[in-house]
Amino acid sequence: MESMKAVLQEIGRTMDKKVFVVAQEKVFAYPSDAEISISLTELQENLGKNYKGYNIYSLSSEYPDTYVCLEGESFCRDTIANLVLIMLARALQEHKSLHQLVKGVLKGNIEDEQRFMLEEKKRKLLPAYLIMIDTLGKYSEEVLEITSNYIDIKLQLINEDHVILLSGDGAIEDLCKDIRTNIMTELLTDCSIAIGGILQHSAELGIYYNRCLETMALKRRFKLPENVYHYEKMDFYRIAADINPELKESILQKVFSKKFEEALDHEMVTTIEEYFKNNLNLTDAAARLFVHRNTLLYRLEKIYRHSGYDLKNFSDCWLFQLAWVIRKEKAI
Amino acid sequence: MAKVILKGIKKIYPGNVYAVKDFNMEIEDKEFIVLVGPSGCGKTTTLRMVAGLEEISEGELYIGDRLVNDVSAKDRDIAMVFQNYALYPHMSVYDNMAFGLQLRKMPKNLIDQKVKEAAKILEIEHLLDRKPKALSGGQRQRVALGRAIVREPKVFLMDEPLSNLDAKLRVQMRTEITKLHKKLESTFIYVTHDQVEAMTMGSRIVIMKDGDIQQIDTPQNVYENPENLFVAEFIGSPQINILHGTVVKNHDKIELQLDDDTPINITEEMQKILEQRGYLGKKVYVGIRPEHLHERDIQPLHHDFSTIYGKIEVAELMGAEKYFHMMISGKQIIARVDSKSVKKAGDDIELNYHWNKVYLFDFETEKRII
Repeated sequence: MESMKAVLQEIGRTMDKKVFVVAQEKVFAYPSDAEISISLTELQENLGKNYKGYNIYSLSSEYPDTYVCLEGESFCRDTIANLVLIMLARALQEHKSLHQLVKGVLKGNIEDEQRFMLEEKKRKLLPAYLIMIDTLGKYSEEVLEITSNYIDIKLQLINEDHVILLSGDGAIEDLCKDIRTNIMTELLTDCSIAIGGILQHSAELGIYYNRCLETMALKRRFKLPENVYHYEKMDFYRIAADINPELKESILQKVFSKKFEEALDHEMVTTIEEYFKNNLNLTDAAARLFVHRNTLLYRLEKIYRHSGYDLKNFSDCWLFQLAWVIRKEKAI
Repeated sequence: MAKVILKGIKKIYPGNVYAVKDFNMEIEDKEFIVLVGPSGCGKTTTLRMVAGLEEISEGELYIGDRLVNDVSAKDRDIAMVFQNYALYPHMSVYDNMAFGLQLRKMPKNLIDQKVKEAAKILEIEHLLDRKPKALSGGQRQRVALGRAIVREPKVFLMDEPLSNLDAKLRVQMRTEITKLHKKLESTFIYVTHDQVEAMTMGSRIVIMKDGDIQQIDTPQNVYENPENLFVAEFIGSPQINILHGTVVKNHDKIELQLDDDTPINITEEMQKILEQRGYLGKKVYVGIRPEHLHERDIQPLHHDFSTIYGKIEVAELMGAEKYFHMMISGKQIIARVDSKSVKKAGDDIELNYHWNKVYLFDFETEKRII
């Protein structure tokens, strides 16, 4: 809604009056910290009148439930008021148009793809990272508020149960982790975030959106522990997902024998997870596990004795890790 | 009242993986509880279950008198502070603290009141107009705490909030958070992997490992009376010295014989307990804290003590004390002695210890015997 806010600012500054746009639950204000003490019901009842120091207008016939409140002493519908309403209606139309276009592209509508290409050239939205935030459909509007105040947003919208945004910021993974922290702090709800990659051309929008969906699906499928994932780093899981079921089963049986499964306790599981999470670095993994490096070596030795796979050896380790994620995929 | 009761709380993931096995605890109103343990021990999962960010697989959670298992996080009257506090870069400190309340559509005058009250408690009133980039690390951390304080929650939940700070700032902020707890008179549940934070901040600490509670106690008791080997090794810096010994009878005396036949003596009472519990001939872990090894020339003991001998491999001057690293019975041990000591690397040293300062742990169960 950046264009709406920008137009509102322009109008408010030029006229040196407070202006509010009330669209159902959402209120846009100039100045931005101004508060309006008129309820929706009161707006409906006082349409076309001056009420509590504001002239109440309906934005346009296209948006009958959207009200504009312009500071004033008595109601009038003069040229200036009409111009204000036209400008605000256009801003809202533009915002909704772009959102509708993007949603159409995401649904695979070819006509919308063409129009989005033209629109993007005009607005210079790209290059930008395409990001998807999944809060299971909860608090989407609040998430938009959080993201727009934290990173540089070129475009953001709610599509089905996700928040989709285009951001021009760098260090995007760290920023996404921060966004997640803010969502948890402010809304006390967790979320998953998928980064589709840097969108260079508008024609790639649908592709990168599908990348985000794929990333989310892989996270769920393999029960991955983190909450922010970059599509570019998901190749291992994409390969694991694509292996045919017979081969998967064979790999699983090979690595996770009955003997090994029986021996696999919480300590071994934590050791394996931490060892992989720390990229096979013995020192870092030992520190996180709060054990001596030698203790970690002893534990890896124990895993080797029970499984036959030496995780310090690359050719053993890669197959073990593949079997490990297949095992997690199967777990119910 | 903000008592928090966890009854049989479990978190079970697909594949029958128990992240938290059976967590039972009553947290009194206004207590400062610290959950501490290594990565994967279940401390953050427990905190997230209290917050409502994670579903409870089994068990009951009460906040105040209310069963909150099915109550959404936003209705539990809690606030959270995380490791990366992520302040909004383009907003002032005031707006950073107000933002969450604005999202909840609180009236402006009430927001103003709460933000100013929180700022006063945190002593950051003079910073309200500044942006985050103009703040120091400690000030930013205080703003992050302010975002939680304005909610006026019954319980504050903190997930390793100091982990991203440098060592000096961490020490400073530890004190700040402890002072804040006293000012706010609220219940704090704090998660850390750092045993120093746990020991210095908590009124009680919960040591966890592999989803299990190892011990719940005051910092002093956990240090002086660890219930098992893991707790003894986890708490204390430098770490407790652990040697392997066998319980043997030497004439009429029961003593511990280390792997290189060095004898470790214990009190008569400890000898009786070992004999009664059938430990004769059995292997045990022998623990002695570094500060309980006294250099004979500097700090001689006068009764109920014995001596062990070693050669110093590394001598570290820490300022008020020295750490001597040496091998005894094939194990690396550390003695913490007065800085007056003139010993250095390569020197032989005689170390005395009181018999009653020896900890013994069962070799199989790792539980403390004495």
